[in-house]
Amino acid sequence: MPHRSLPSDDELIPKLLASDETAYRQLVSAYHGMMVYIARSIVGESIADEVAQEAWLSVIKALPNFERRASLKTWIMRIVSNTAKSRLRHESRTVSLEDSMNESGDLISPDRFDERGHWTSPPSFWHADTPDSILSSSQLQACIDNALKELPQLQRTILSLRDIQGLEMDQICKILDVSESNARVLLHRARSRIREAIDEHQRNQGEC
Amino acid sequence: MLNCKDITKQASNYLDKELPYRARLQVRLHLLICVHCQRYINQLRTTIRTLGKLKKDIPVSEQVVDDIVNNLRQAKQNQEKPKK
Repeated sequence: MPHRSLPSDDELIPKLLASDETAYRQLVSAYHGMMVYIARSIVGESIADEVAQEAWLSVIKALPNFERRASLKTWIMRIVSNTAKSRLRHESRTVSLEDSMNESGDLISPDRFDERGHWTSPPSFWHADTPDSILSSSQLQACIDNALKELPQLQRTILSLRDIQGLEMDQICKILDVSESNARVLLHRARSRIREAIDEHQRNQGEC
Repeated sequence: MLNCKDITKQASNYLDKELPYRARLQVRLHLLICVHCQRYINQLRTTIRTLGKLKKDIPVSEQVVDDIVNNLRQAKQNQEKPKK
């Protein structure tokens, strides 16, 4: 689905190819924020703007060869994701899916279950049990922010795009070039970690 | 019959309605008899909804848009310059 303030891809692409400045401006205004968001979730805050700007240059350069197998938006987001990933590789930090998939599979400490897989230490009661009550505590919000920052890169990116930005899973898989089954495993790990952060805060009376 | 550990592993797929009919039914049956897992599922659902309420937009100033558009125009001109 195109951004609501943008003309359709059919209308926009010929104008962009003809270097129409209004079309450039519309495109950048509509998508730059999301591009920075994606770059930030992959490379971190400090160089996200730079990565997004670099991706724009690749977009304009590659546009004549755009085959329209995906929407313009998904294609652009994929370019920023690739730009960010290759930037990480240059800094020799791990980005491969394998690395993320090899992390411990236990979402919840195994000693919270007995040998039959039943809870021995069940989930605790939450005093703040609605999104509004959770977010009304700045301490709790800080715990969530920290937990988000500490997630492995790919988990963080998938969680951000799915649960914060509300993108569809198939779109996310195209942008990040991951399979849907892997993406779902990573999404669940990431959500479980954030649930745990909220839980820790509520059990430890303000600490996380 | 699923146990509690199984439920915690399938919780996201259950909430996202990604489980096949039979697996979904098994989760439902377990939830009928297990208050702890009901609580776990509710907490995960609340977590997802809380994430949905976090700040989404990254504001983009006019100045940033201008700068990028200028860069793009320049890059395009360089690209179109005939090579000597």
